Parts: sequence; C-alpha cells; structure tokens
Amino acid sequence: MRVRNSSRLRRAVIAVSAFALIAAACGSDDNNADSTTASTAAPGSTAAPDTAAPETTAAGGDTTAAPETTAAGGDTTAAPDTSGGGTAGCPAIDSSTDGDEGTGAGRFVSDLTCARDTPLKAEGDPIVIGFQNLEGDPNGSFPEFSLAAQAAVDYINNELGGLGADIQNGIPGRPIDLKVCKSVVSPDDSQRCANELLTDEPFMVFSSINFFGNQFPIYAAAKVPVVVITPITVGDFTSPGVYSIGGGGGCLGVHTGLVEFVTNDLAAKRVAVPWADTPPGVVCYYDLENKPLDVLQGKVDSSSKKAGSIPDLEHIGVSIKPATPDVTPQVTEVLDFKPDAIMFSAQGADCWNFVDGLGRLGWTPDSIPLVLSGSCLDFDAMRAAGDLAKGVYFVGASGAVLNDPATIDNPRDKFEAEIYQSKPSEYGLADDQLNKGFATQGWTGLMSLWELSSQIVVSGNELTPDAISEAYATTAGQHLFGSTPLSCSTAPTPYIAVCNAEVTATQWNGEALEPVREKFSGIDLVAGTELKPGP
Amino acid sequence: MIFFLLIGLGLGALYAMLGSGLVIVYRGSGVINFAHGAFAMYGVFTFDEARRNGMVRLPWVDFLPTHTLNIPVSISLGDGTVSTPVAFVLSVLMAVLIGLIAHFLVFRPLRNAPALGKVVASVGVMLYLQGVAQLNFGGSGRQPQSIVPNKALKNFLGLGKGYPEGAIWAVGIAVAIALVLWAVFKYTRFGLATRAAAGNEKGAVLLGYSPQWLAALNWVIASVVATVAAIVVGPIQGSLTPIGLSQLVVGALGAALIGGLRSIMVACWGGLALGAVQSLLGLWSGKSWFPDILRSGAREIVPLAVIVLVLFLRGKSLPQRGALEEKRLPLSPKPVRIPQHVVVWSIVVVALAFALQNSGPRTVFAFALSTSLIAAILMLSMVVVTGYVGQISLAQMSLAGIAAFFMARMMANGSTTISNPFPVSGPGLPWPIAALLGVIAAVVVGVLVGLPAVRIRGVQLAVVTIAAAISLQTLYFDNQKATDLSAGAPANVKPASLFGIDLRSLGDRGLNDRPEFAIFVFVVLVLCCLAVANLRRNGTGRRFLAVRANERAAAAAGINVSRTKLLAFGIGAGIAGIGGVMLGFKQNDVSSANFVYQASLAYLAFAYLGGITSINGAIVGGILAPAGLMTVASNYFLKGTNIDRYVTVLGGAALVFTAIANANGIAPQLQMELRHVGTWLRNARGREWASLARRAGPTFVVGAIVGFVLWPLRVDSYSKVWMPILGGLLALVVRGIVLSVKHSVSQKKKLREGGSRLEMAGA
Repeated sequence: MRVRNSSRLRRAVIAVSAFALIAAACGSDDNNADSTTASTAAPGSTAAPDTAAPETTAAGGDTTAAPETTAAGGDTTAAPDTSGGGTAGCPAIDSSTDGDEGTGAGRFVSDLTCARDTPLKAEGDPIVIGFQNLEGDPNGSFPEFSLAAQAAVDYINNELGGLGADIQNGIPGRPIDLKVCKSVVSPDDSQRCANELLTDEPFMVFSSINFFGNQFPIYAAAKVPVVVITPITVGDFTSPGVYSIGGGGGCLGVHTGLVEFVTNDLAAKRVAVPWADTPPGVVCYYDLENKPLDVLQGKVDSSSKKAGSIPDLEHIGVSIKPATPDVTPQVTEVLDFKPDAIMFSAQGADCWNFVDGLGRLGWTPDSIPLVLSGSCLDFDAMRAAGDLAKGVYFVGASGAVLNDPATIDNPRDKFEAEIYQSKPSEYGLADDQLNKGFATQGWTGLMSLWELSSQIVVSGNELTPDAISEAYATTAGQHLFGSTPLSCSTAPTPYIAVCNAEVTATQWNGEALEPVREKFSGIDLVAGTELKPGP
Repeated sequence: MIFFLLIGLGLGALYAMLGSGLVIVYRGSGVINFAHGAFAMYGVFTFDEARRNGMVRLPWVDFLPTHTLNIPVSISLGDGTVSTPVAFVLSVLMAVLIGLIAHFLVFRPLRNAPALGKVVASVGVMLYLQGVAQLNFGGSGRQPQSIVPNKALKNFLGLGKGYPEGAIWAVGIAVAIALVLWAVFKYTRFGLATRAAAGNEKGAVLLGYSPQWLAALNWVIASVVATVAAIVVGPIQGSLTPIGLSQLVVGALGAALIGGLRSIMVACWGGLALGAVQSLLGLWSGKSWFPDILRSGAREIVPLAVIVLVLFLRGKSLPQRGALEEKRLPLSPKPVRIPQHVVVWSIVVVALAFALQNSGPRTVFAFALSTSLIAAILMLSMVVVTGYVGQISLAQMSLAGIAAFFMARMMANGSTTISNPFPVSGPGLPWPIAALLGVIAAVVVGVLVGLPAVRIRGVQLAVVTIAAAISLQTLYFDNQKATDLSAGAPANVKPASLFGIDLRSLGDRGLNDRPEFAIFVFVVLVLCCLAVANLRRNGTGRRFLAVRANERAAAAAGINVSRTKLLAFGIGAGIAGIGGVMLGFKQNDVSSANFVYQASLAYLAFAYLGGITSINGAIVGGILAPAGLMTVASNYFLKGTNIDRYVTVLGGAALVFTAIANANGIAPQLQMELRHVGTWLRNARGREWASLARRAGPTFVVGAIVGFVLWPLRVDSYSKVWMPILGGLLALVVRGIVLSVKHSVSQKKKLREGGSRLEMAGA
C-alpha cells in the first residue's frame, strides 16, 4: 500500500513538475501582435489591446511648434515632392533645409505637422515588419528598443497613415504589424528568432543589439533586408544586405567623431582612450581611434587633409573589459598619463562605472574634459552621477532628440525633439524608457522606414521588400528623424553596411543635454588608410 | 608596481568577504554555493532600491495574470527614499530571509543528496534569484553608491598617486568581518558545534546538536556577510546587474580554496591577494613584453590558476564534509529494446523532417528539431562523464567548442565570408577530415581537463572544470593569436555533403528547414546513442558504474580508477566534440558565446532535468534545451501569454524542484507515464472513457468557467480561447494534487491505526 501511495504522490508531483517545466521551458519569445500592442498600453491600463489613437486635440499640439514652413525655394536635393500643394492642405514644404538636414527633411516636417492637425489612419492589409531584440535575459535585456519601436508603429498607424502614406494628399498607406521576437543572449536563440520571424514573411527586419551577427546569413538567404539600429559586431558593419543606421553608424562614425571632437573642439594634445575590450571593440579601437590619432600625429599615412596636423599629439589606450567590477587600476593608468581629454565609447552601465571610477580618484569634468559616446546616454544614470556627469560631452547621432528643446536653435531638430518627447509617451512609452539612447534608436528606426516608404509610394513605385531595400541602399544624405542623414550608398569598404557616419556633440548640464556641435564627421581621418583590426 | 598591488585590494576585499561566506556555507552544510554572488546581488539591490525609491522588493514574483488577485511582491516605505541605516537594516533582513529560504526550502531537503544534486540546486537558486532581480529591479545596470567615505586620498603613502578611501574601508571591514567570524567559530559553542558537525555529523548529533539548525544559522551568516560585503564595497563591484556579482563567485571560490574551505582568515588574505595580483596583471598585460597569447584575459586567469593549483596540489587534503547518509546518483538503467527504439524514432524524425519543411509558421519547428537533436548529442557526453562515472564536468560545452573551432580552422583556406571580412588562414581540408581532427582535438583536451579528476571529485571537480572552461575561452576561443579571427568574427564552418547529398542546414528560403540536415544530425545522434548504449552494457560501462558507486571498492576489485575516469573524460569529450561539430554545421558560424561555461551549466541543468543517468534523459534534455523543441512549441502554442518574462525564474525553480523531488529526471517518469497511458488507450472502451469523463469532466468544466470569467481581469494577453483551456487544465492539476494529498493522509491514518492496533494487541 505504501508503495502505491508514494507512487501516486510521485505522479502528482511529476505532474506539477512537468507543468512547471513546460512553463519554464516556454521560450523567450512573444511575437504575438496582441502582446506587443498590449505592452505599449499606458501603465495600469486595462483597456482592450487595441491601441486607440490619442485625442488629437491633446496630442501635444500645444507644445510641439512646427518650424516656420515658408515656401521659400532654395537648394533642393532631389526631394521627391517639394510642391507642398497636395489636396490635404498641409503646410508648405520647405525644401531649403534639405541640403543641411537631409533629403526630404522639409517634406517630413510638413507631413508630421499636417498629421498632427489632421491624423491619417492607416488602411488595408497590414505589412509585417520583424523586430529582433534582446529581451528578458538577465545577461542582457533592452526592452526599450521594442517598446519604443511599438510606440512608433502605433504613432505611424494612427496618425501618419501607415507605410506608404501620402500625407500631402491625404492618401493612407498600410498599417504596420510589428512582430517582435525576443531573444536571449545565445547564438542559437539569435538564429531561432531569425527563423521565427521569417515564418511571418516580413517585408523587412529590424535588428537591435545582437552580439553574434549570425542572423544575417539567414535573412540574406531569404532576401529579407535587415536594418541594424545599434551596430556593434563586425557583421553589423560589413554584411551585405544590411543597413546599419543607428548611433552614428556604430564605431565608424562615433569613434572617428570622438577623435575629431577631442582634437579639434577640445584641442587636446594628450588624449587618453580607455576602450571596451570586446572582440569588436578591439577593431573599433585600433582602426577607428588609435589609427586616426596616429594619422593626426603623422605616424600613419592618410589622404586626410588633417594628416600630420598635430605632430605633438600623444595618446594612450587602456583596455577595459565589459562589466569589469573595479576599474580603479585602469582609471589610475588613464589619469597617470595626465591627459588633456579622455574619450570613451562603451555600452550604458560600463560608461557610468568608469565615470564613477574616475570620481573615486578625484577627477571632475572641469579638471579633464570627458567625452563619451551616445551609447552612454541614460538620463537616470546621469542624474545619479550628479556633479560627475555635469559637463560631460556626448558624441553620437540619435541622442539629439533627448536635448531640451528650449536649448535647440535648429528648427528641424527642435521640432523632432518635441515630437520625440511627446508622441512616444502618448502611445504608452514610459518616461524611464523614453530617455534611454536605445529607445531613441528604436523609434528612429521605424520612423526612417515610414519616411522611405512614403517616398517610394509618392515617387510612383510599389511598396515591396525589394523597393525598401533599394531605398535604403541608395540613400545619400537622406533625412533621418532625430539623427544625422543616412548615406548607405557611400559606405566605405569594408564598412559597407554603415549608413550613417555623421555625429553631433552635446553636453549634459545636470538636467538636460545641450547642443555643442552640429553634424560633423571624423571619417576623413581614416580615408585612404589600411584596415587595422588589431595591435 | 606596489601601487597597483594596493589598488587591487578593493576588489580583493570583495573576494575576501564572499570567499569567507563560501567557507562558512561549506562548513555548515557541505555545499559549494554557486548562488553566493546572487545572494549578495539581491541584498545590495534591496539596499539600493530602498535608498532610491523607498521600496522593498520581496524575492518572488507575481505571476498571476490578473489585476484583482495578486501576490504581494513589494512593500512601499512611504514616499521617496529611506535613510541609509534603515536601508541597511532592511537589506540585512532580506539576507536573513534568503539564507533561511535557501536552507529550509532547498538545501535541507538535499542534505543527503549527491554532490551533483547540490550543484544543480545551487545553480537553480542562482537562476531563480537572477530572474527575480531582473523582474523586480530591471536588467540595466545601476551604479551603486558608497556608504563609506570615498574621497580620493592624494599622494597615497607618498607614492604620488590618488587612492580611493573607500577601498581602505572595504579592506578594513573585510578583515574585521573575517576576524569576528574566526573568533565566533573558534571560541563560541555555536562555532565549535559547527566545526564538529563539519568533521563528523553523526558525532554532532550524538552530542545533542542539530546539524540542520547549525546549517541554517551558517546559511544566514553567509548570506548576511555577502550582502554586507556588496554594500560596503559599493561602486568597487561595478554596475549592479542581476548577473554581475554572480560572476565574481569564481574569484571568491579561489579565495575560499586558498583557505582550504576551512580557514576564514586564510580565505580573507587569499581574497585580498587575488585582487592585488589581478590588478598588477592588468597593468602588465598592457606592456610590450607581456606574452601576446595571455594579453587578453590575463586578469581573469588568476583566480582560475589559483583554483586549479590549490585543488591539484591539495585536492585530497581538502575537507569532505561528513554526512549522516549520502544518497547516490540515481540508477543508470541498462538500455533495452534498442532496435525497436531506433526504428520507431527514425520513422518519427524522418517524417517530421519532411513534414516541417516549408510548412508555413510551423517551419520553425524544423529549426527546433535539429537544435534539440544536437543538444541531445551534447548531453550524451554528460551522461557518460556525470551519469555513468559520477564526475561533474562543467567544461563539456568548451570541449564541443574546441572541436567546432578546430574544425573551422582546418576548413579555412584564407578566404573571407559574409560574416567575416577578414581572411582566416588554414589548410582548407575537406569536412570529414576537418571534423575528425576537431573531435580528436576535443578528446585530447578532454583528457587534460579530466586529469585533476584523478585526485579530486564531486563539487571540487566541478569548480576545476569551470576554471578550465573559462581558461579555454580566454586562451583559445577569444584569442585572435590562436584562432586567426579578427574583431570577434565568428568561425565559419563550411557545409557538409555526402555522396552528392547536400547536407547544409540553411534552405533556399533562408530557413533552417532542410530535411537532409535534420536526418544527418539524427543519424549522428543514433550512432552516438548506440555507442553509449553499448558502452553501458559492456565491461567498460560496468567499470564506470563501479567507480561511480565507490572508488575504493572499485580499486579493491582491481579496477584502475584513474584510467577509468580518464577514459570516461575522453569518451565524453569525443561525444561533446561530435556535438560541437554538428553545431558548427547547423549554425555555419560559431562564436565563443556558444561555448562559455554558463552554457555548460545550462546544458548540465537540462541534462539533469531530463535524467542524467540515461540515454533517454539526454534526449528529453535535448527537447528542453534553449531554442529547442520545447521553447519553440511553447512560443507557438502559448503566443501572447507573456510567460517568457518568467522563464528564468521558473527555470531556476524547476531545477531546484527536480533536484529535490525527482533526481531521476523526467525521462524515467515520462517513460512510465507514456507506458501507462499507452496501456490505458489500448484497453479503454466506452465505459472507461465515460468513467474518465465522470471523474475529470466536472473539474475541467469548472476550471474552464473560472478561466472564462477571469479573462477580462487578466493583465497580459491570454486569448479568450486559451483562458478556459488553461483554467480547465490547471483545475485538473489542482485536483490531482488534492487527491494525492488526501490519499496520502488517509494512508498515514490507516498506518497509524494499524500501528495502534498492533500495540494494543501486543499489550
């Protein structure tokens, strides 16, 4: 009897165990449209999953002042439609800014202003867009990417007419159905996500941060274009069929931009370069920081006009592994060098751990200027760092929308910062997510797709995956929301996937970011040089 | 140089305090607690959250998908923040709670379990706490604030450099804690009793002490010390993340081993020394004279070198905690009806492979199928090493990586690929030769990794194999000099072909759905299974089991124990190598991330869940493996449930539960249940079906109604269809539990009554 009893108990236990295991083994993915929609609902909301358009009267119209849109002509760079004379009664398109702000900037501002007053809802069958994101893994989780992307999708579907909309003429496009695949930090899971997304037959796929790059051959074989919004691996920079649009093109734009800013704007002659000792970090440091500094010093030949212009330049590199617990030894090495400026590019928390380490040894931003990459932007961390963060510079591409609009002179930048600081919140993006650099990139990625899709349709072409791929591939100074222009067609070898190498510089004043230098690039510093992947 | 030694003392203080905690737990309960860093993490997060937001987050999660019915997960302490002393007290209380929970719910039930069960349980606790922290505190790092003075001391000791005051405080507190603990364990009755129980648990019981209460107190002390350590060192530990402090457990293990797992003071000094040497090596690794091959990761190798050295030199003198009784690993069943199994599964897998190709949304199962088959091969290697011989190896994935990377290098011919724009030099060998060489390389390294097993065993061997895994990653996978892979580019594996059949994994549509590849993997798995089954049935297998049961008895019976262990490591490494090779063919590009020691831990855990002593266990483990059939099936069938948020938490809890309640793993139970269901289905007629409906039907219907009624209240996106089904199934599970408990109670009552009657009859 006792045996039978324990057997039954065991069976019950097994049943519970099996249930727990099934639950536990339930993967890390939720690519259900309902769930992604639900996840963007306002906190505490119990409303049905469908995200209704917010009241247009309360759509931030009071705070979002459109820049002056006089119909003055000017230098137009092949904008698709500059007439502004559509049937929807939109503000006139000011194409005069297209030269500086990127092709289509004038139309973009006019479209968004028009949609703010008269929202245009998307119609027809949804277009599936894949979104592969690292989420839910204690080893690395960045939900702000997909949450911001979903907020952008809701905004596009409810106010901007969907993909391929012609706002100037009030013709709606098709809604986006964003399929988010959440992946854990594992090469297997990265490929699993690629397989899962492909079964949804997406038009294209956005890939946020991915440490492996092994998803690209899968998408390439399926001929599905991939837009990388935060390039970090070597595959993100060099894979064909991939368009890396985020963060100033990753290290190609940002690292050379850091060198340019530190040596030009800060006029530093002794530069300390702590660098992220990751596999891609090695090539990013040696090829795009160490080498351009050597170019300026005259140690490396280059076709850059600035080659050899600072012969007395000295620099030191100090490697820092990600998530290093105590960086005091590395910081000591940096400060021992007695630099005029310090520049550091890393991911989020590592930046602030380094700043904290500097502070522990008595450093202040006033004593030695510190320039960080845009990937370090995290308002919560910056506020927590207090005086140690006040006065720190940031070089990146998409962080400009986080700037305090009151401090922005450029009307287009101001307009887009206001849009970013109002619309995602209306569509459920929480404030603590909104102010993260990765959230801006998730939002910007989807907005770029909307803008290019509209251009395709307005130009009389059909919206297809090939057309979208072609549109990205041929960009040359194309306007990009809240960022510097896209130029995929001019990507240098071997960084053929890098679409965006222009950056901006900002400075943290303790409360907000203030612009310091608008669009610039340091990429000419490596022009005509040989690739230097290591020491 | 002196300054750089001094500057490493801050981190050394953290190693020292965590190492002291590991020693305390080991002496108190015989567990090497891989979750020790996670204890510290949760404690310091509690402190930080209370200070920042005035909240205490309890160490569990609310997984009920409703607004109205919630499990309390946090306590608000009014608006805003709380003072540092209050936050400190709250975090210490949290540490006490975690220590007690860990002991009474996890390690007390496992007190007599084999070492593997304890290792798996501590990994489960670690995953659980990491998952809860991820949900409660968020995944992005926070910068901890210092609670001790942390100004820069200029021109410290006249060395001309600034020194963080916080590091001095950390060292002082580490030494003070070690001194107090040393005094407590040396001079108090509690300390003496703990030491007595550590040496001889039976003796302690005879003297009237409860080893379990002693263990509980030791768990609490260790947990509190870990929390205090993390709070005191503050920013020295780097950003607070759910996994950050867990990774420091390797350094802490080094400190604990220097202390011989018995001396807290020596562990403290050892930890300080480790931190100092790491700092100095960090400086030296930047110098031109430093060997290139060691340049990357020189700091990380220090604790590992210490661990290997101490265990190898002092392995046999390290204390093995005495226990009242130690259970052995579960029985290892002799494989039977092998041909029938092969035929049935061949039909199933081949049919699935063809059915899933280009099958719309279901195509993703084709990817999962090959993932699970390969995972099963990898887990077979664990069945041999751990299941058959009882050696805990956490380096099996590293051995798989050796084979994959070596094969890729042997295939390389100086050309570039889509994923690697930098040419990789190599002889350009055809795949069969390259794969064979890869497997041979894995066998050679596997035997080397197994060498320490000659002198040590159990959990100590687990530690040394972790050290080996991290060393292999640093010295080989991530080392450009060894792999010729620039900029972290993956190692490219060219697709295989046989007799004109293309065996690549990637189809024309980009999906990993080619049936030829799935069948290729299946054939390899079958061959591995046959080899392992044959091994189990012949004399070698019997020698393996003899060594597992009792090394001394095996030696007395004339078995060469060292040779047997090394043979097992070699065979295990060979199978792991085959798994690595197949993984290479599936992924085409393999990177070091495939083969980190955490992957070995995860695979060992899934193998344990499946049943680590049997071939079937490896197959079930493969099905459960990450990105395998279970993952994809749950994604497919439970779309929109948001259950993925709880994967780590539930995974950790399931591991602990399995270690405690079902050490045999799922496979034997599943086999039994399947046989039972099969028999029932064969014999069931209308009457049986009606009886089942009568018994279970009402419960299911009630559950379904409750699910439907609750549907509007849920906060996630269970669909209107799923909620009733889920409700019905849950009701059946609850019914099963209630019936079992009722049955158990009534049986006990009957037994008691029977006993009373016997006593009365005796009287």
